[in-house]
Amino acid sequence: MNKIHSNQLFCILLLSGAWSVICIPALSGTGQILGIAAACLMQILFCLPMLALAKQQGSFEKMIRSHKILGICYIAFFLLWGAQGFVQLWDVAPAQLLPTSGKLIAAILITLTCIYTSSCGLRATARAAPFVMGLFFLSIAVLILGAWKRIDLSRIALERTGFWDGVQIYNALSGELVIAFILLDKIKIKRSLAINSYLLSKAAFCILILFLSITVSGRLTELTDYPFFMLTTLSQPLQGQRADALYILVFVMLYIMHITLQTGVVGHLMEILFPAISRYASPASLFIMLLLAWMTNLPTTQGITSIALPVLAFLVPLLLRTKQFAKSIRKQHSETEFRNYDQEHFL
Amino acid sequence: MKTKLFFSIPFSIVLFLFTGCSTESIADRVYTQAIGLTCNKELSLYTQGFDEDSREPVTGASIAEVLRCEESVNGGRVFVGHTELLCLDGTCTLNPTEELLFQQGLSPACKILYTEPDAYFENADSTATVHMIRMSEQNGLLSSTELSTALQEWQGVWETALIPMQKETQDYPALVLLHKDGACLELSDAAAKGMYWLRRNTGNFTMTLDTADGEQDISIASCKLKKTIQNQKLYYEIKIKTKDSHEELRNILKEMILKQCHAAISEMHMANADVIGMQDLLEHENIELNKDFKPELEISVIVN
Repeated sequence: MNKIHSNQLFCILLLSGAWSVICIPALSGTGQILGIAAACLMQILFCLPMLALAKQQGSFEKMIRSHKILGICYIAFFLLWGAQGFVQLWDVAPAQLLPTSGKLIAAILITLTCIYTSSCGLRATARAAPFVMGLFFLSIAVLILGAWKRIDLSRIALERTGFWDGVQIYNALSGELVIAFILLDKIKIKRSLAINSYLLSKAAFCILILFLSITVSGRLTELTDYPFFMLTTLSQPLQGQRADALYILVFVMLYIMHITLQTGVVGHLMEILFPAISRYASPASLFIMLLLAWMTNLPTTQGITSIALPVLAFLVPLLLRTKQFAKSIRKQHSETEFRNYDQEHFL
Repeated sequence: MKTKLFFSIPFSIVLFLFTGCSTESIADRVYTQAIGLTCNKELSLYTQGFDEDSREPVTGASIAEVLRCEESVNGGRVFVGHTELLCLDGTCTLNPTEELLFQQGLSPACKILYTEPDAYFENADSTATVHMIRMSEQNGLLSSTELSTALQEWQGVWETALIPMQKETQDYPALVLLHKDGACLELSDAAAKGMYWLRRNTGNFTMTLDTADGEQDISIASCKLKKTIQNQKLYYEIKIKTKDSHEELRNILKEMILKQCHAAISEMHMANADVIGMQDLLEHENIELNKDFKPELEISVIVN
């Protein structure tokens, strides 16, 4: 895979993360907002080992070449997470945003687009991300513009309940950190800027959605399973023109980015682990995701990510970095010993 | 690369202009400007298009069914997203409006009117009605109401919403407190004006005051409402900025607003309702609420 730019990494991570944020199912007040802010700070610390490791380019590639089983674990995570994405799409989109197009037709069309985009590879996805990002920012601007007049600050009250809920939910939505760990290997400069900007922007977007849901939707939030879609129903900035088409467009694009990113990373991992069968790995992974999604008893997103995130995005980089550090100390030590030996015997 | 970018940007813009136009033409759709609902034995739907006379009412068991009937009668898919006015008579409240908003895409900013749809749609001029409601709200004669606020109020503990009603004896709409079961109480003129100050409003209009020297105009530049709660007691502070510096006029205005607010609260308590956001404040203090609970409320008015 060719190199990708740090700006592109920021865009693809944020867009994929934004899709998870708009599918937040529960809302419990300002405690949750504080929990999200705390989880964001926690994740910045979580990222330190992977950023330290990324200074030596190619270290992740070397690691999974020598520990193939670990590479397979990463692939399994992306397949499960992607499958969960399909389940979420089936649950969320048809009822909320695509009521007139027909549930099955909409899902089939989106899946077909995903098959095409996954066949284009990760680099094409990275290049497309800044364009989608522009549209995403436009939809946020429209959302704020429409919601602005309806904000009622008396609905917001500082409360502690929901803090741990916020931490858990936000961590469960941050599977992109695993992707970040893999893709950091391919970025030359501004790695920490890309990761920190992604973490802060995603937390800001998440807090914005929760804040608007509390102050704009108020009690109406109880009527829906997904607060974001209630917000889009209420946020119509123009009297004579509805903004639904924009929200549908952005929703579909975010979902396609979310799935394509995962299939692209699976393709990239397959290229490293099994180069002989890597040619059609991305589209094939999409079919496996569909198959897994079709199976019942799939673990929830929260279940998958809360276990995988600390292990795959924090523990593995930490162990690898510790190993590198120990190796360099051993090397330094042996060099010093060799120099002392030289000095003792030859001088 | 530059050539590709040069062509791709205008191409993308053109693509956005074409979204959704390939499947249906505008003539295949039936747009509604006003909708009326009654639920006597069956659900009846009254509709009126933009610059059209009222259509024949259709009946059915549910919103989806009456919309299907409407489509077959009018020969096109009904699109309610641009509806400006929803007429209710109290027999249909929370559930059908909720379905119209969430399933059919009715605009949350749609105005609601308490009226008999049967009589209203016989000779309806929805454009005039909507303009009258909007202008009354802008001129401080009527508190701002719309579908989303009514739904929030019906969802609350007291299950009562504030809705405008056309009245033949006055030039602007009156207000009624409509319970989701259909019971309603018409507010007095003073109470209706009091509601304007106690709910979110825009300000910036001129009003006439009765003074010792006869009627005098005063310009309201802005109006801010601050709601707080302390020891289960609610405090509503209304801050008004006027463009006039006459002290006496300000005092008369202050007295008048206080009088109107007290009338509004008294009639609201009479109807066992909350249409001024008391529940949100009370929930901050974790007070257990029930329908008979009448919180203590203090109002202060500052006119600058």
